[in-house]
Amino acid sequence: MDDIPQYDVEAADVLITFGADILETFVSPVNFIKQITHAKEKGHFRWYHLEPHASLTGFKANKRFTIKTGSEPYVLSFLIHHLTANNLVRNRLPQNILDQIPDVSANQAAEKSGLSVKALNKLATALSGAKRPMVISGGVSLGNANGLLTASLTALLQWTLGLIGESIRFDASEGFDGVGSENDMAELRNQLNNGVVGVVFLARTNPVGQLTDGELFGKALGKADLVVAISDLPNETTAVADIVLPLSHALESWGDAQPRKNILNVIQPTLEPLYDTRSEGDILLTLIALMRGQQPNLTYQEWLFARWKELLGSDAAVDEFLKKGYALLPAQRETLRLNAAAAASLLKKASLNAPAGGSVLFAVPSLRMYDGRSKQLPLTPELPDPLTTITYGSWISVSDEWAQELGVKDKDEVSFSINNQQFKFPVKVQPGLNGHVATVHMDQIPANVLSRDAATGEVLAVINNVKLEKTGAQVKIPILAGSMEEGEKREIFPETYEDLEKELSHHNEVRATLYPEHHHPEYRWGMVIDLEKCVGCSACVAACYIENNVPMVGEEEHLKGREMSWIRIEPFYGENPDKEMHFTVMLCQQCENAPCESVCPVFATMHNDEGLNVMVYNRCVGTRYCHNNCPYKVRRFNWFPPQWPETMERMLNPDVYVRNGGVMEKCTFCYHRIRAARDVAKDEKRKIRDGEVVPACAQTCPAEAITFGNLLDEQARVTQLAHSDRSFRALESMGVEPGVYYLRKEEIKDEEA
Amino acid sequence: MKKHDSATSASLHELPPKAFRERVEVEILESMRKPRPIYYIGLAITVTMLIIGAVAWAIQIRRGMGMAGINNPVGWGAYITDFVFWVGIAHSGTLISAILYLFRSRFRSRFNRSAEAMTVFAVLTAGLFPLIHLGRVWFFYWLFPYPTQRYLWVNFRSPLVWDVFAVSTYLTVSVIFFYVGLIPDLAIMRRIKKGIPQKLYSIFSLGWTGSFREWKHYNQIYKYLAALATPLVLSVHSVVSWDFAMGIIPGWHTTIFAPYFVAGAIFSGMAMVFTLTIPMRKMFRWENVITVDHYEKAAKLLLFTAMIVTYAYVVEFGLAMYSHNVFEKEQFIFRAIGDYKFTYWLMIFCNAVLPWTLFIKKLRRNLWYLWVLSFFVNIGMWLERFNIVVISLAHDFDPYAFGHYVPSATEIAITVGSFGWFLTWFLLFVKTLPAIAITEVKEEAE
Repeated sequence: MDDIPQYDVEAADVLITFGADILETFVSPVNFIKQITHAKEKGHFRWYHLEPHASLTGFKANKRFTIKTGSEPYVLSFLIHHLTANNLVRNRLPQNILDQIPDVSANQAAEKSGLSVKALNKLATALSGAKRPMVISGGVSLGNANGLLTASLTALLQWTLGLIGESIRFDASEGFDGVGSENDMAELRNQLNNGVVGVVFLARTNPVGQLTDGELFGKALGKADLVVAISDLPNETTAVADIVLPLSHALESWGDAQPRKNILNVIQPTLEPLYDTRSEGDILLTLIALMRGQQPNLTYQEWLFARWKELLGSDAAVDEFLKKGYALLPAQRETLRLNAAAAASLLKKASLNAPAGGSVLFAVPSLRMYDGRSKQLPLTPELPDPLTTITYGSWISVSDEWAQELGVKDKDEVSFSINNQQFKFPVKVQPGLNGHVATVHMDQIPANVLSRDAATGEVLAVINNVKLEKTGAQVKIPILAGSMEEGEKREIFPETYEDLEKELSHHNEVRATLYPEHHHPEYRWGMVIDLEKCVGCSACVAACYIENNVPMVGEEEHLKGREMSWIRIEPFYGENPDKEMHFTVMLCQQCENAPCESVCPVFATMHNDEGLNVMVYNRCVGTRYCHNNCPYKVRRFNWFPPQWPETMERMLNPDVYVRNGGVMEKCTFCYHRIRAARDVAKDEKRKIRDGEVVPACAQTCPAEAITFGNLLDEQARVTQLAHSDRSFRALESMGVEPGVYYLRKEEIKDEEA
Repeated sequence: MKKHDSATSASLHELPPKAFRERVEVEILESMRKPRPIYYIGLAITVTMLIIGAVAWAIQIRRGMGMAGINNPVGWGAYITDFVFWVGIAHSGTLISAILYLFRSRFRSRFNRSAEAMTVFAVLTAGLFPLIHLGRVWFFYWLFPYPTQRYLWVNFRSPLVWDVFAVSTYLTVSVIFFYVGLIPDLAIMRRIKKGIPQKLYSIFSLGWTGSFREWKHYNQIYKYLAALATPLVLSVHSVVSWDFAMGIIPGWHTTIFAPYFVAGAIFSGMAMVFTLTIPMRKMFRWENVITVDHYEKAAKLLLFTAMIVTYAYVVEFGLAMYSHNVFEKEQFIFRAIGDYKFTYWLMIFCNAVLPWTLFIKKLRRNLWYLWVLSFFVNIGMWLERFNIVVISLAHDFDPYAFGHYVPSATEIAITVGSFGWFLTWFLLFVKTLPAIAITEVKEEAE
């Protein structure tokens, strides 16, 4: 059975992940982020992440261990043997399997992986002491020469810990069972070459551009009698297809999806197709009818409704489904047994390669564009990559150590080759990378430079013995954090806003304001952002762009430091980035004593009686004084009149004013949503209820890190959180009385290893 | 061309009063002879500069404020620097005219007319920049309090509104002061010129006859205007300094700014007087009228203000270091060794090192040296404003939002254009009005 199970992380109290970037691209990151949040809320939760490079996921784990590339089998073998030998397992593995697992002692594992013996023991103790442990491997840990072995040993560890069938569920597995691997595509290529397959339909897929041997596949397609590509955007595959059928957008067509086996989702159109396009369903139904010599008389919509009725039982159930947007399907019971003989022979066949020494380059999928398929969306490059804060362009993240040896700093160009293909990328020094390690994002290199692991069908994303050479050139790339200028990179600043605040409060007394205090009769809107829960995924940033018609300004403007985002994720790397790395979410703090308000000569920005610092866009003359005087630098100026390409203006939110050139703009806590809620409340003759208004950022945050509400309401969740022990405000001692509270990251002392 | 004797000022004063007065008039009006080709070349250059600036501004209005190099977080750049620079230049005019008049300082009479003209033109130039830097310049009138049906009003808490009043008041008073001082000289021009120019001079001289009664009234009003203008010298640049001091940005938010800016303004204004009058003296052969002694006195004033400015630089640093405020400290460390260290140390060199050479009497009396020095001071004072405006914004509170700014071609073109605008006015002035107050020099005969 080929399947990806559902990992119940939420129920776990100890999580160990091997390279699985569960917060970025592994299986279902949004789901994992939510589960991690819920696991944290339940109390004791410890998460250890082992990886050879540095990822967002690693930084957000309680403890990140850097291991040598491909050394996972040693660690896993040690854990299995150690736990088995000490009788700390629930299901003892059959002896024939255990015999096939290399007997790795703690010292050997430490030597091979680069971890300390103490750290290994720590992992073993954590697993054995946990009520519900969880082990997941994925990402770069599987995309290397030892990938198959790592996957097999992980499965065995999961089995022996008694997780399979309990917190690793196959009855409600992720809907990937129909998904093939690169091996399957290689098989199709053979069939094409041998003339076994004559007609190929390719819908929403770009094998020529995205397979490691895409070029060969493209050539093989040439041998087919007919290649039909169904696609919404032109790509490498549509270029070689005989017929290209333009696909309707998801917003224009009916459909359904099964993200998990037990969940059915509806896809509903929100507008008539803008162009003469069809959905795949309509195309195929028409084809079927024509093949049968009939006139097409059934639309895909009708077909879907009939199927839903069949699946869900009644018209009422279908109505309910359409209203809710999803329906639960009965879970299929799966009984799982360990096939000891097969497992043993698999292990026997798998070869254990020595961990790679020397320099390593990782091609990692990016949080923003995955393997490059989201690259064409105008918004994705506008959002900064959370770890590097780079928006447009390509770069290679290099460890500090390596960069110093090469004598390069940020933006200095280096050349390197992957499988004989030359690249020249600017460098970004990435704290947290250790040794001769570098990473590039998969979307920035063509897929065909990577190779396929014939054993698993996975992409080999680890490139050994990469040589970086300084070219001497400098490339301009928009790194949003800090000054764009090369120069003194001075690390004088504390690591977090909270430290900044502490520093300030030592010497600053909050002085009384000279102006009369603001009076808030009913509401004082406020926000609480939990920095423990925030994973830096930047979904809030994307949501804000779309909700508030924030213009996308392009690379040129970003290079000038003119990004327009109203909310941003700021990474702070501490002295020891292996341990300390924080994200801060910065948006308009809606200060009670707002420095921006007093300096605006025309009252274009002012305080309303709900504590909001509001903007009257059409009153703004553009002195930019408010922006200068904002200590958080969250105001954004429209340097040019914003341009909306044709049909994209249809995306504009009709509830939000579209600003002109020369006008300042900023976050207003989605004031249009507050107003909408007030209208409802007024009709019902009551106040707005807690939780009734949810700004776009809070609504989108998968980590549930953002809470919004009325600070005057004692019972409101936002008020209670704002009074928690962990709460602080950014630059509070300046006396601006911000309306945004932060909950500091929880410190875990006992994690030293 | 009339051959000049190399008589010194002393020999001019040795003449009997009547001869002295006649001679003064002739010598000063040398500047108003028919222009030589060099004048037209100069005018062509300044008008070209002006056109370049005007075109750049037009393009900026058409396309958007993004034509300038400013960004997040540096929302103010070359335009505000230019604004403060020109307001500063405008200062010494009033200082020389009004304050030195009240102090009965003799050397004033050689410089006051050109300094006053410089004031008026510099304020006219400075006044353009708050408009140039507006994102939506077509709504500039919203900055004025005027009654509207929508009950929209300006925010009197905003230093920018104070600016509107400070600059417009200063322009009004300096124009009046300039004009009143001109009246007796306009009457002289009426006597000399023929045709349409004579009619114009006649109109603007307001029927001045030079009677005892007129002189009595004239001296009274001039004194009062001088007394009225004096506080403005202090107030205008104080208000301009509050554009920054009222902000909360480290490097801006400091009480020292008002005196610091006023001293700096006088300093830069004196330098601009040197820049303009030393070549004029040469061109118009005023060696007899403006002597080296006069320049030496002015140079002492320059030295004095340079010392104040130097003191302010030291105090500013000291305050930041004493404050224990991490942001203040960091800001000043950044100024000294950060991305803008070149502009910072160049400013220190121009304003706080080079002018101290004026302690040497020989240099003080060397006009070539003074002229070259004045350029350094002009550059240094422009940089001072640049450093205050830009470096503070580039490096304030949030390390993520630190930034970098370099003036764009548009900003450079508009800055060049502002010099073109100013110099064009000045060139027109020297050929249409007596560039030294004739009647005031004549008074020395008694």
